[in-house]
Amino acid sequence: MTMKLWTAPRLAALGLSLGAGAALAAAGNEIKVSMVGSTYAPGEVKAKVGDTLVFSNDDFTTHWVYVPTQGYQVSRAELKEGETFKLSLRRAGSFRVACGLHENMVMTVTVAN
Amino acid sequence: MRMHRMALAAGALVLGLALPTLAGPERIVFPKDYASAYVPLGAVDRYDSKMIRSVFINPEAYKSYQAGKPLPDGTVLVLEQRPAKLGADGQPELDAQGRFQPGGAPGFIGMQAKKAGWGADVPAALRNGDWEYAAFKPDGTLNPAVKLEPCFGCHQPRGAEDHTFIGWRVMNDLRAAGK
Repeated sequence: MTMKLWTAPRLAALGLSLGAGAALAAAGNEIKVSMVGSTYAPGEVKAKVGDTLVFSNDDFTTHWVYVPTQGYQVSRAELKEGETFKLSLRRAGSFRVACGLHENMVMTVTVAN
Repeated sequence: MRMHRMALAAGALVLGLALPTLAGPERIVFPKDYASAYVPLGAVDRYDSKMIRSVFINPEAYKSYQAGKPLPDGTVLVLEQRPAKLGADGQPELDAQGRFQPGGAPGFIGMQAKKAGWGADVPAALRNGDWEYAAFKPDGTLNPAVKLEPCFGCHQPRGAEDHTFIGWRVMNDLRAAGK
């Protein structure tokens, strides 16, 4: 969505060029979510379209990244300790993340345009 | 699972015991019209297997659950799996919404069904309440090549959500939304 807002003509109108800064803006931010003590930390994330969630299993056991919310449903099962998983956020809205193995391990993500 | 039950049956025969009705995928009936007659609960993009899994539930179970009751006797969940379309890097291509795109026809259809008493025939170490599991080929015939122990093993710790994954939470969301 950020790409649509900051198209080349708009940037040109502002006297800017498509340099590294623009590429970084289009790529969005990486937001780390640590999986530790069978919890997600932070337990609530507010992000923007174009951002990327980086789940890092910093625990001593296997976890899942599992999104049951309709329209956002993804699963990355068996994320072992030390492994990471990146989830690109391309749609505004809100969804929950859960671990398929630990029923109380949940978090919410809200994505704004 | 099948091997375990066959061993149990063989043991019973050796001992001259009367055999109870054996559990297993054979008692799950494949609903050929699931794609049109069942309620779709969504499609899960599986990053670990690069597959798309679409889930459906029989309408009777859906209505019962939406009325505030537990998943009833006779609940049937169908999981249809198809490969995701891959890019040149071998990773699933994402659309503008960040979703996987279908890259082929379904190659595997898994089912989870429950009926009162079925669980008694499943070894306690694997038991998922009264749920049974089955794997089918796209033509609706049983696929004996698929091992079912992983189904029992993966769903077993989810007792708080009646041994389901997507079904329970999606239906909770829909029930909360009054749908």
